Amino acid sequence: MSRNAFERHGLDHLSASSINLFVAQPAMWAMQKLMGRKTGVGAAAHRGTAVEAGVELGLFDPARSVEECQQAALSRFNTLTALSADPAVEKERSGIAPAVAVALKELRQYGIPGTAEGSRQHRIEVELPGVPVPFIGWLDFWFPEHGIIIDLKTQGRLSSKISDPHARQGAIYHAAHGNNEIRFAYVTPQKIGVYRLEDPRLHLDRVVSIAKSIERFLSLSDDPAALTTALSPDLDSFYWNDAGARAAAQEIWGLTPEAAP
Amino acid sequence: MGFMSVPSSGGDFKVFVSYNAKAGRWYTKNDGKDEPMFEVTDMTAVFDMPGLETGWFKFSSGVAPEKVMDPSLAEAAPNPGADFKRGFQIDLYSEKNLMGLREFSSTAGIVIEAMNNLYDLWMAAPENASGKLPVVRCSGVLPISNKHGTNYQPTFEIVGWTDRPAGLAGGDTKSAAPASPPPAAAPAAHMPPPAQVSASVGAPVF
Repeated sequence: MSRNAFERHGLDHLSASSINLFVAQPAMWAMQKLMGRKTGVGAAAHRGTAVEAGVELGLFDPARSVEECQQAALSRFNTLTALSADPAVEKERSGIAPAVAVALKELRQYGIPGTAEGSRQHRIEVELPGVPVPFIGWLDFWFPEHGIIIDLKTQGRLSSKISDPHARQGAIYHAAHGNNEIRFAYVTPQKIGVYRLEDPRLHLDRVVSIAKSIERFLSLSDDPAALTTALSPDLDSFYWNDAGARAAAQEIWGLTPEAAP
Repeated sequence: MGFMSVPSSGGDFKVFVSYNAKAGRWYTKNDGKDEPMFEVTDMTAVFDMPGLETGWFKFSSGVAPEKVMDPSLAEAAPNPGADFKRGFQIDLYSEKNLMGLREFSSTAGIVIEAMNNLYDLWMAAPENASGKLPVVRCSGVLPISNKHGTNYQPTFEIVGWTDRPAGLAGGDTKSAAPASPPPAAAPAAHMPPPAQVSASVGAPVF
């Protein structure tokens, strides 16, 4: 039996982050998914992971003080950035404790999230019509007694609405748990906005469309290098700030960042 | 057999039309005690879209479903307890195909999706402004495969418009307005936390 284009390239699933990366930075997507070149993330991403760790601790264990949760978040951040040369580390660290406090004050009102066989995060896997590989993801916080799933996003400035990439992520969650409402909690060190995903079907259509675009792209060649080098990276984008990513770009495309004036 | 049991007629309960997502087929029964279920082979009926309601449903075998309806499409009622799921209900009417007025409700995700698509079609249709109701046909089913196996999603299409039939009571238009702005439009509104049902530990799931 002939394998589909995903399988021919060793891709057995998709995810929200994968399709969003394909849309935003197709060259980086190809470099990571087809050439196997992993890249690091900056201090801002570690800030998100750290805040989530502190909020998770405080939601699942209401007896924990906010200070304990803040400390847990800072510990996680320190671990993640121990070897980081990102100059934004100190700036990001300073926002972690207040963001944890802001998020806990709001989200503790939802009660205690549900667990899945001892795990605090819930794995989802859903097949979408017309897409030959499943989508896999993890839910941040699911409140089954309210029928609400919340995904936590940390920011420097509060969003006024759900971004399209996040909406696509929410649409995938909704496809897996259609009876639940999807909310995104955007938290900054000063405030929080919790927004409901209003029309997941619209965004799910886009998810499927992107997945089919990926499939068509993969169908052009069985040679991952040929596909990757058919694209060209935008090294000016923050996606390529990581030194490892830039080094990989140089290896693959022979590029160095264009010099600043 | 449909996915929910049909309560005995009488009282405040309407006769149900049910959709079996595993089979992709519609069923109803005549109004009367111990009437047998039969398949609806032509699922074409007037849908009371302005009366569409959402809420929490608990379907248990052999008894009428328990429901807690939302105050409006834009505002969810608090979850009344374990085993309740989000769903919708709507009145349908066809003398020929359904033997009159029937209530259709579901908590199945794929059916909710199908109703959402129909809701959007209805909202976007210029005929909606006339106050007429859509005549809707289930034109087919779409296989959806996931960890629950293969289920069949109904596909609805609006095939006509009609004045509200006498047999379709109400005319409540409380839900005629869109539940929310379209995505990526105006800034989103902050959603407050739901009213607390319980402070106990979250239910184990999966």
